[in-house]
Amino acid sequence: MNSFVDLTGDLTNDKFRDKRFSLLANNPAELTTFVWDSGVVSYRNYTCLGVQADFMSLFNSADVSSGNYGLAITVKGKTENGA
Amino acid sequence: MYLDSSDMYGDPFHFTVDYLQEKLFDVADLDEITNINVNFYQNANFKLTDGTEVAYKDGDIKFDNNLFVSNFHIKLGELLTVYDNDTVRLICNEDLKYRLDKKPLKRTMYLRWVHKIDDTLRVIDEDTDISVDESLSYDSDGIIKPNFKVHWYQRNLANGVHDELAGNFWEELPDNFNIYNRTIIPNNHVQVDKYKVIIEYPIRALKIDDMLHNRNEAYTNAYTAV
Repeated sequence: MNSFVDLTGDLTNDKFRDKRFSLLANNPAELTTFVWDSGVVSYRNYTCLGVQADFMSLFNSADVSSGNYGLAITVKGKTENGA
Repeated sequence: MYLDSSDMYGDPFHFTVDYLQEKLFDVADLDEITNINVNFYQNANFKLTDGTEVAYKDGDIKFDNNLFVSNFHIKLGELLTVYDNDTVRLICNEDLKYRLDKKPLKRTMYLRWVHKIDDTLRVIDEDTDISVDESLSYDSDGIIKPNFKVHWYQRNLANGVHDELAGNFWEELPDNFNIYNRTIIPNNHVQVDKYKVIIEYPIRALKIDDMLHNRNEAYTNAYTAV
């Protein structure tokens, strides 16, 4: 984030400081868990979005070497040509 | 967009404590952002070094969850590269017009300071807990403190209002220095309410001069400049 100038502050108003979300790796019944939705907003003329979070992955002594997990961020918006 | 294990610093499968990760995304193509949605996800494709799949249950008994995310923050802004010198910005992300029938009338204003030190730009904020120049300042207990002061001012057109730094008709807001986010209660007696910020910090040449004089034990006054 050293190259980022934060112009809005945390959009969640710091509501996740002590909140924790979890998943069980490879459990096909739980591939995602909802974290946050901004609702209907109107943020104009920002060029960069910055995301920070703490991650923890407890596989005990298992020799896990591959797999994907993380945050999926969907941003909806408009361009001047209406796209 | 993903902040994924493939982006993470360290070994993303063996973070035994909360491990901070961060990522920037380019949203310059969007003139307006209308919604942001965030989910914690996995692809259920975890494998051991020998290629076998990681088990998630023993018989009918599922294991405890083993992937966690916490302390989530999301921000909008711009890249530091758009700046080429010291810049101070005062930002309000809410509508600047008040409706008197809508309460509360308060607004939050954010100060952002991009500061150039030895041809390098950096953002100074409330997390900057040391001097921004090499010439460190110390308080009476010998603890490093910032050698700059952030002053907030509100326009006041009353006769005789004057501030040494801000000039005529600017009144310094009370409270401590070096506040970066400030809640403003509007002055209902004026049509337009104005605010500004001045950052006061020593010019290095004068600071060095100050140190040299101190070394000679012949100089005690502090220099400051805007």
